[in-house]
Amino acid sequence: MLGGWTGTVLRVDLTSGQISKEPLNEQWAREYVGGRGVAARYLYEECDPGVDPLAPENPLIFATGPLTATNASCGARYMVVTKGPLTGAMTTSNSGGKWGPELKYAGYDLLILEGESPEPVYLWIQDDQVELRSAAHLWGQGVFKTEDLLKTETGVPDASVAAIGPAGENKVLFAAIVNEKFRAAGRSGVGAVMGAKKLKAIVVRGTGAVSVARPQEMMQAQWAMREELAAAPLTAEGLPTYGTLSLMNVINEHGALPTNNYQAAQFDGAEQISGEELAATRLQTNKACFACTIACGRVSRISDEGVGRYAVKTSPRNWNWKHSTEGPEYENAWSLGADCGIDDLDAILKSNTICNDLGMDPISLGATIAAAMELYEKGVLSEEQVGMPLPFGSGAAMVALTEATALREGFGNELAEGSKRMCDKFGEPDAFMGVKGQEFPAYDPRAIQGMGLGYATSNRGACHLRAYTVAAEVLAPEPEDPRATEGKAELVTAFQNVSTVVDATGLCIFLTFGTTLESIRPILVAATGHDLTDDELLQVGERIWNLERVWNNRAGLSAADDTLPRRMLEQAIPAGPAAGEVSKLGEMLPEYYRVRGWNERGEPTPEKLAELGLA
Amino acid sequence: MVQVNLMSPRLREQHGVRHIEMEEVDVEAVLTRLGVEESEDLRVLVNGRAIQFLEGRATALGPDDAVTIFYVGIRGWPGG
Repeated sequence: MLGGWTGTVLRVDLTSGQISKEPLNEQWAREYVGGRGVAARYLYEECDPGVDPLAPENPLIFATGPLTATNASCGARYMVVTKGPLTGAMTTSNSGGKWGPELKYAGYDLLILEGESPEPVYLWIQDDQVELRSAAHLWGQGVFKTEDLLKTETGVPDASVAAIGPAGENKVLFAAIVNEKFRAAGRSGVGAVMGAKKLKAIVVRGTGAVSVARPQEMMQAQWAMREELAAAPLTAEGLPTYGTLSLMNVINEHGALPTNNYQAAQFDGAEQISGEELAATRLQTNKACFACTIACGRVSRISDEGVGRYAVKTSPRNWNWKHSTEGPEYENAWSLGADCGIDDLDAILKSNTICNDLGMDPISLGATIAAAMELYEKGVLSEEQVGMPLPFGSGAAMVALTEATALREGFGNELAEGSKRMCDKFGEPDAFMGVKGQEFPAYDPRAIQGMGLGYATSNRGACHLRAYTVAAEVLAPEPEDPRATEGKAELVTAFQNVSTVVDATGLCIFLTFGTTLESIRPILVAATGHDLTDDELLQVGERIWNLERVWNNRAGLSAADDTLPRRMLEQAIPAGPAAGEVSKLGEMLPEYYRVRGWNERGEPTPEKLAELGLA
Repeated sequence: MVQVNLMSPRLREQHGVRHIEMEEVDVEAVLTRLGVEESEDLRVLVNGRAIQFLEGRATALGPDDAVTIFYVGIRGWPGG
């Protein structure tokens, strides 16, 4: 077996309760590196693309990469791969913390969950001992209490818990899986799949080790990359000090900060919800995931003035106001903030904390509430329907609806279906801001053209992490013109392939703010002992991307789904630095297909599949 | 007057304000007066547009223009 791997896949049939172990497919480990890639291959082989995402036949795969749990910087990631209920596409949702490393130390590279338990259960993994236990007493509990109870119940306080909250139990279509209370595999509804299987939590404690093929060589390569991260101001100082929230002012100044459900691209209240404001008023310290040398996590506290506002019925332990909470990240502060016209950091922190405790993706939640606010202000939704006034800017409504959504109470039951289904139901499909059923993240594609192409072609629906061209179009010393379309097909393709490879290794994508794939490759090669050139590694990314695409096409997705909302294509940004801009997706998409080696229907050609070993 | 937005915490601390109004004719003069040193991490926008797409440091400024100054410090990205 290659280094970096334990060589074992743990498979659990929740219907029968059968637990088995099998060797990891080493050929796939070579061809797909690991994590997102290997898990995608397992799903490709084992799951009918036409499956109902919430049916027992949809497997839920947790996958580490060969660098997960090694001492490689940021080697903390695990990937959840399944058919996403929000999108109907293969989803690949990624989280940090220490849950992934614990799984690896317990002796497993992948965990494949099949079937559906007749009763609520949790999975307890302690090295070789694996058992399903009743979770009847946990059903209905939030993530925070669930984690506390399970650590007590197992008697292993160092165990790591990945759990769903009521949102997952209630099959909210953007429910998340949350580990260590504040780290989440957030997008596309992976928590709803876990809830449909009646699996409340996976508790894992490992005491083993991960062997690498060439330890000395790996250490040298690892230290070289650490030096790069320590020398790059963004990873050495910017992210530790201000977190990802440092982007708020920057993106706003470029006129690319979506506001009021993408009706505007600059937010007057950006400064009040910025990383600088958080650092000055509410930040207590920063926090790192396992083996991370960046530490972008935020440990923060709601202000004294904010403590008594926006009470809800559920009361997570960590919001005992004398305690700390975590976050918000840039994306969450945007979705719960600017996109809803809210400039109140306390409201954002409360809503974000509820999302963690009740188990939801704050991006999709905030964006869905933003769409509902637009419908309310248009008169499509009434106060009676919603149960409260819902204007843009209402922190009270946002916090209340965050809880109601997870519990599917009142109008929360409509929000729980996500923005697309909600907008369709109320006859306003053009108010949905997203792709393939998944809500946009925090960059207006009319102001940053590459992001529009990236959103439209992302295999898991609208996503900023699949092709973060903001790095090249906004942040780079010599940026590509964000308003131009020339060269964006190549740029997006390159970002997609690189991001996919990083996801496969088990490393965090934030590394790429301070280093390059050329520095990551020697670490991977030394760890696994499988020699790969830079070009071969990039081809792995391309292979995974194409595999996901082929599966999605078989699931019924097509070129018609590689598009953006009419508002992005036809309605210009009304004011600000990018006023007058629309997305020129139509200019970029045919070129993207050509660069990818796909036909005009967005399908990989037989020649391309043969080149990638996928024929 | 030209509005200068200091998005960098370092510059805000140095000047004690977040925004300054200045009477300057171009970007170079603004940066010089504020004591902003040349750095590959320095980013300058005029009305939200990176100066690389305008006239660089020679970009002329009018009374209603806004200059934004910040630092990024990014190193790795595909092709970068």
